[in-house]
Amino acid sequence: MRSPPFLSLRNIVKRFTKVVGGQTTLITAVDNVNLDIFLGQSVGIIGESGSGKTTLGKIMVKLLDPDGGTISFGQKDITRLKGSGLRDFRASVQMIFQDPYSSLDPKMRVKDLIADFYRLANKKPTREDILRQLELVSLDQDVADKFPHELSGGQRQRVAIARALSLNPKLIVADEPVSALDVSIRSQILQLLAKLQGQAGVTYVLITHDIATLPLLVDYIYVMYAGSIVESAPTRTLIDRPLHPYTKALISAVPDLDGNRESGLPIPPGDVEEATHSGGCKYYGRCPYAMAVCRDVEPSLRTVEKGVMVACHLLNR
Amino acid sequence: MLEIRNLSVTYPDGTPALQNLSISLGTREVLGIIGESGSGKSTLALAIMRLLPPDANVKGEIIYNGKDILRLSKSELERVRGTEIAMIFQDALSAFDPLMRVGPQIVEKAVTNKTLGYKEARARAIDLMRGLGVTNPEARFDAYPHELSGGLRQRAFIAMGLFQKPKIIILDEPTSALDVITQAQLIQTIRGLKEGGLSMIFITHDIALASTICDRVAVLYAGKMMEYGSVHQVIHRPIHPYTQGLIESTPTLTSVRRGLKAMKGYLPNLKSLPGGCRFHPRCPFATDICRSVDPELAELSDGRLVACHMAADSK
Repeated sequence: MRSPPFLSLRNIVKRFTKVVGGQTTLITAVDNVNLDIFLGQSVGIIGESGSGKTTLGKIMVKLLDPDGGTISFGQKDITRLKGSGLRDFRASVQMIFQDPYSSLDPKMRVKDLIADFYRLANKKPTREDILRQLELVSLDQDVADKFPHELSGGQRQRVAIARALSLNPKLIVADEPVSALDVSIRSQILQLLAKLQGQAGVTYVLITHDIATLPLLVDYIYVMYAGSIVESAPTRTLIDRPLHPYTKALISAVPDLDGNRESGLPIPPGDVEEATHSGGCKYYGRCPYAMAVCRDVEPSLRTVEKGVMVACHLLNR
Repeated sequence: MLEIRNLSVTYPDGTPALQNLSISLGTREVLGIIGESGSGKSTLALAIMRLLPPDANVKGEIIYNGKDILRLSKSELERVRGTEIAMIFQDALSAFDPLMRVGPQIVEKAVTNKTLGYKEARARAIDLMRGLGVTNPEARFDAYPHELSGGLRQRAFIAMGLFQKPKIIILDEPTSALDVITQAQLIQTIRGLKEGGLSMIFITHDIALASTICDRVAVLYAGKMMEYGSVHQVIHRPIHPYTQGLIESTPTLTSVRRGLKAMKGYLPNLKSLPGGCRFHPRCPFATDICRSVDPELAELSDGRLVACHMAADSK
């Protein structure tokens, strides 16, 4: 028997209001999402901008409250919990953001930025504790006394990681942790995250639009489109045998160093914001295989083989 | 089409952004300029457009149509900008006035110069937008910039750049703010422009993306050209250790199976560059000569240029 999930999301819904041309419209950023996180099994969430992946990540770490659904931590429902009721949760789940500059207070030295996190758990770190955290992310000791603006982008992201790790979290939700960094620095941070998986025993939820960064770090991938999960599968299966037309498009759009795309698949027209279809499959307007049923009926996420779920009428035939 | 000779740029604060760069763009060619932060790739674009701060120290020549762009008069420069050479950059939102509709901004220059009447200009802009893959171009012409999605805004920006029928366009990270599918769509559009006879300079940090569209590429590091040759030479058979490192540290769906390698160290501060070869502190092959002598750009037997002591030895 598999142990129960560490974090479990059920039927999560999040809506935002958006004002366009004086008219208020309701946008469903996250639409009935179910997702389980097991310790030791890192997952990736992939989708284009506007897919709802960042909103989902914020709900997962309770930076945002969902409008519907439940979040369970261990076996406990924490959907409505606030403040001290979340102390255990806050210590075990951390988040890393894309831009380490805006997530680090510019007026604080690195040592204080890290010490601040210990205080969340009423702990007082020694200088050794801080230096140990810096060493964990391969930063020199003299970084402790510097301000964020004195560091490079890569060093800042290392500080953000050192800080997130200070309370020995079990789970780190990382939203585009390397996309703001230079190419030669990006691979260093990806390698660091991979090393910490073993060394600090953390599990990741990696949120990204760049599927090429996922295979190094995650075991399982969820594909999001317009707020819904349209496919989920083990990493290798998803990349080698994508089933949903949107997943196929995402993979074939990744530029390869050989100068050609992996498959001859047509690139879907439009983008999420302008082409989302309502009343049926959200991908209807962009899908090269769309059928009549896709226009009228939203396909549900079904298990098509062990560990692989797809929401597509093509697979229901 | 365009020939750049011994171009050096130093910013007023003393930052040497570009050092002694010589490069040329052929007709109907896509020339890739690959580099990370501080490589000088955007400085190069600004120098060609003469958009650098007036007190920047610029040396060398940028020859277009037999004339040096750096020495053109104001009125000659006005004509070259836009009508001969146009530039598209990453952030289309900042390229448009947020309070003005998109279409009038696309046609503005042509209409104020009285080269076209507004009605004709509008019809041409809509045609151009349609050709660039803008869906429902009539409605987009009348939309405000914030009402367009990122992909559409970038296409409208390209339409603005192409409106005066330039011979050369400089694309500085044109797809970096877009997601993969929109990026792939836009690369298809850019390929179409190349087939239509445009010459392009494609500036990017993404070596995999460069390989999908460029004919020749130059790899820049900390203001200096490290390797320059065809895509086949530089990306498929890289010789400079920095080019090799960039390729090895670029995750792609296929490279992951080989495992990802990381380059050590950080990008150097341009104001206190390491002595000798500027890449030597990060180079896995550095020897004594690399620490003391800055390698010259030398031509190898296959015709490519490489600035590396090791490459010169093997010749």
